[in-house]
Amino acid sequence: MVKNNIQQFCFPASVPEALRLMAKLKAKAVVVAGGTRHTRSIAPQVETVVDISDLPLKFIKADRSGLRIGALCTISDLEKSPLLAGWAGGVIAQTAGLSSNALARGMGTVGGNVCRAHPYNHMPPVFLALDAAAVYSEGGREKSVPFARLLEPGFMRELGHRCLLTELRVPAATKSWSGATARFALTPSQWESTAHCVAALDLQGGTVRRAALAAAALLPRAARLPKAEAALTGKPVSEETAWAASKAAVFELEELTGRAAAKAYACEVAGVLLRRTILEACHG
Amino acid sequence: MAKKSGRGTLTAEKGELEIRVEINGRPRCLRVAPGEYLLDALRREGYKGVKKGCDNGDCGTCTVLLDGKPVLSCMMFAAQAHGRKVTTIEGLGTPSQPHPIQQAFVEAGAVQCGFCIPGMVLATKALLDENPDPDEAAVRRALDGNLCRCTGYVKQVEAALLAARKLQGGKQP
Repeated sequence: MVKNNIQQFCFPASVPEALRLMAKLKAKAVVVAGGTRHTRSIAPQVETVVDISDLPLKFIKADRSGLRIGALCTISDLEKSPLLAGWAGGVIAQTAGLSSNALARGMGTVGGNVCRAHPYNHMPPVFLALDAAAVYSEGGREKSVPFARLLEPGFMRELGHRCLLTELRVPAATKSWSGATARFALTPSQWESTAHCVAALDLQGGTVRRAALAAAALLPRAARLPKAEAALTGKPVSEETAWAASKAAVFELEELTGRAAAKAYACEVAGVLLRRTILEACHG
Repeated sequence: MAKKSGRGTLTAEKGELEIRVEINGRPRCLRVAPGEYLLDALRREGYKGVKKGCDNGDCGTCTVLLDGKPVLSCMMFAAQAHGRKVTTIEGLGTPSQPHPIQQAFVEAGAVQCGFCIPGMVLATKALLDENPDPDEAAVRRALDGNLCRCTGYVKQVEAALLAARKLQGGKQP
């Protein structure tokens, strides 16, 4: 048994009820959804576990504004969703399928995966590439921020016990995009990747109208690669343009990693992965 | 007014929580330490088929079904099972009347030391409940969180496919 000071478990049935508990208990409370790694790292000041698994935040649906994914969907739900299989070339479902193993995918939630924003977590780069928005509830009001804000250091800490991530929204325009994802790790089920890349492309008549490329694992947090995106945008789909974009990505990643020698190999790997994902997104 | 939770709040008294949980179809009331993991609580209550392996969510030997879904019992607090249904390997069959999945594992020769088998069998049950006719890839994917250090997984995959046929009344592939 891991030493901790837990005295109470609460099972709120609604988001307002969960927020009231969090606001009242502040740092003495911790929110647990799927569990996975979180239950093994409870801070010593925590006295109450707020188990939010009963909240009605388990949905995957589409409306006029786009795709809506409830924060309590498991990674496995994303992997198996027919709706996600047909969205942006199935890149969200594909990314979910790369994550860890069947048991962890069945327990871990998408909300936990993106809120923890660990560099190795698999879902942040795909939502970053698809220009998603993070929707959270605070003080009885629903607020939305670009997904990239969620990954900024301190953003979740600043909001702390006042808010709860409720869903992720992906713009409707991305439905017809093409997408692909690839990661490189010691074994397929190993959580820690050397590099993980996502390409989401808006293609029109053999030309890349818009490119969204993201990398993760080798950086402290997932990041978009605007220079590599510029190397693709407006260009015809070809091996050459994919090469040019991957070279730009390696240069960009080397800058982002401070040209650290320890990251040089990971940057090269990311370049290869990115070229593959671009070609896969273009040609299926 | 906000809807009240069906599971409410559990507060420790004298360092213990009282949880109500249905284990293998029987309603049980367990006294657990607040920080106790489901794995440890189940083993203490006599469900020794739930194996303690890595204790870190990596090996899958502690797999149980929570409301029919496979979970790592070392990664969740016992209190999180309050108001829910847990199935352990003891709830599947008996030595004299094994479950068809257990029988398939025996017939396929999928058991060596046996330590990983309860988790494998339960993960297989969850798969076959959802997909009664899986192909080999689906079986391998469903069992990829259950590690076995004795075999090369071939026999266990064969066992899961055999179990699927048994549960479908002996239908041949």
